[in-house]
Amino acid sequence: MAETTNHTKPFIVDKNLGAALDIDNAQLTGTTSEGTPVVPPTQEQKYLFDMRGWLLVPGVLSGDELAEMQEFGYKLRHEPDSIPEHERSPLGGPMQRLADHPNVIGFLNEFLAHPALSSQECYGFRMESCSLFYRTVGDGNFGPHNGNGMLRFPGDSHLYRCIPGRGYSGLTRIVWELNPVKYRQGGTLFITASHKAVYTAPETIRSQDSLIWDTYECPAGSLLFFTEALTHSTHTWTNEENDRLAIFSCYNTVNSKWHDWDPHPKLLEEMPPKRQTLFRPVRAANNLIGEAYRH
Amino acid sequence: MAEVTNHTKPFIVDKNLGAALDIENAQLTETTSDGTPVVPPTQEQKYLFDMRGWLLVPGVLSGDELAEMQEFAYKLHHEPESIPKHERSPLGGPLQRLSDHPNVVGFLNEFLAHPALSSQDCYGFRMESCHLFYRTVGDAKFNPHNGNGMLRFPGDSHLYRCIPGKGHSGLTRVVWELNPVKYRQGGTLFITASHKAVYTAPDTIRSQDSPIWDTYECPAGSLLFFTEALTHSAHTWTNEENYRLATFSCYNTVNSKWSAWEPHPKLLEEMPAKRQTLFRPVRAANNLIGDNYRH
Repeated sequence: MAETTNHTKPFIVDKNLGAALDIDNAQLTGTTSEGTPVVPPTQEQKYLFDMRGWLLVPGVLSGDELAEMQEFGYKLRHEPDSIPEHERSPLGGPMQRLADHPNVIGFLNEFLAHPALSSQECYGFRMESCSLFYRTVGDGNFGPHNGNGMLRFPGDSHLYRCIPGRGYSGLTRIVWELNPVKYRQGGTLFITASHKAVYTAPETIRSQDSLIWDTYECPAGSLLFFTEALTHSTHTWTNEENDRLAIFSCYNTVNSKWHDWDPHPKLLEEMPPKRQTLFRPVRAANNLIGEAYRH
Repeated sequence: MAEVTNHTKPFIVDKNLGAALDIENAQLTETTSDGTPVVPPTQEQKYLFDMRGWLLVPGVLSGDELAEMQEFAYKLHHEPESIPKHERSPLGGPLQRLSDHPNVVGFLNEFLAHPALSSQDCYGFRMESCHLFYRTVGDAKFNPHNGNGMLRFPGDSHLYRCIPGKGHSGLTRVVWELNPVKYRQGGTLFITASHKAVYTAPDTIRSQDSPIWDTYECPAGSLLFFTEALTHSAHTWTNEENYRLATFSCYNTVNSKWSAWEPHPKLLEEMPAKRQTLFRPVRAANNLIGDNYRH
């Protein structure tokens, strides 16, 4: 007889009196601003991300969609004047769709969303920043930072929280690798599981060649998630076959902000309403768009 | 031979690589905007607040200073037109000094401040809101809320965190009771230690007469702190000898916001520079006034 693993719902403390959140009726956003159903992470993906602090989903984008993103990324870097001013960012043109891509929303619904600030019209989290990383051989300075998020006090969102059956990622980085990444030739470096570390990092981490550092390889169009509570670093790009073409975005809870960044106001104005909710003012109270804040 | 209790410094995880915060050199603000040295909590006060979730400091204000506050608050309720428009709040007139009173800053340095966002010119926390509570017999409705903050996910700041030797209070309420409060005649009710509760509150809490509820009595001019992670409630005012005259303020980390509240812009403009830092924009990065953000 095949073994079955018992799963039960996590006990997530809701706003008042220690009651458990009614997970089945939590209004996590079910579709993106383009009406596409979100893609929740699988049980394996949840397990891996919580344990390791990072997760790679290979080849999410492909074909014409990927080509369109790559072309825009290339123009953004090499011919920015060919793009209207307010669109000159990785939130512009076709790249904007990546801000609330179905896989992104599904992941953030699990690891970041605050249910009371989420509805079918309104995402339960914020977008903090969005930058293009274009690297050729020699680019990128090794600089280990962050880590030990599980025991950090709040104050800058670089934290990780967990209870049986549920993780919470705090300030969350999302990377779209639009070009291929070869193993140990420039992809981001991680100290796997360091978001839950309790000890100070040893001196051996000071070398980017140390085996303490993990990394990845992936085809073009891959999607990478990591919690900013994880120790990580840039790795110098050494891949001579292609440049790094990546979008680095950050997401946070609706009531918290790390970055000193906001999208171009004209770009924001032109976005679909649901996508605009990613950029609403930073606070919790009265900030559920289109519905009374539930508390 | 007298027993000696060993104290050692808590290991507070700093921003990078799991290093411990250098507590000795943390730039917590030592003087208020009036130049008065802050009053840190005693070891007993720290112990009691962390354990219970609330702390009363009786009779902080007295004499002429108290009388001046009472008179302004009375006018605020009964004769608001006698006060310039931008000062018509408990942040106006002499009450403004309470927002960064030495006892308040000392307490918040211990239980809320983010050291990297604190300096001698800049408080390491924000002020979220400030309201006047004026209650006569029959006022206020019993309404238990919040609680279980220790195991809550971030999302609305109603959390409590702790490690050996240090507590973090999250969204913190600071109350100035400008008039006397009699025991169980209208002072705020608390379920002591419920900020660390792991079970759902029982139905017995639904009665304000249940002995599960703790409260206090105090002379005029007393100062009350509680974490919003604690289960608490208003208690109907029944004291016939005096009305309740209290300022209820809330404080939070610099990078987080609960309330949809801002001070009057003209009032803010007229404040001393250091006091203004209580109201700076909500974010962590580049938000240490007058100094480089240390991360």
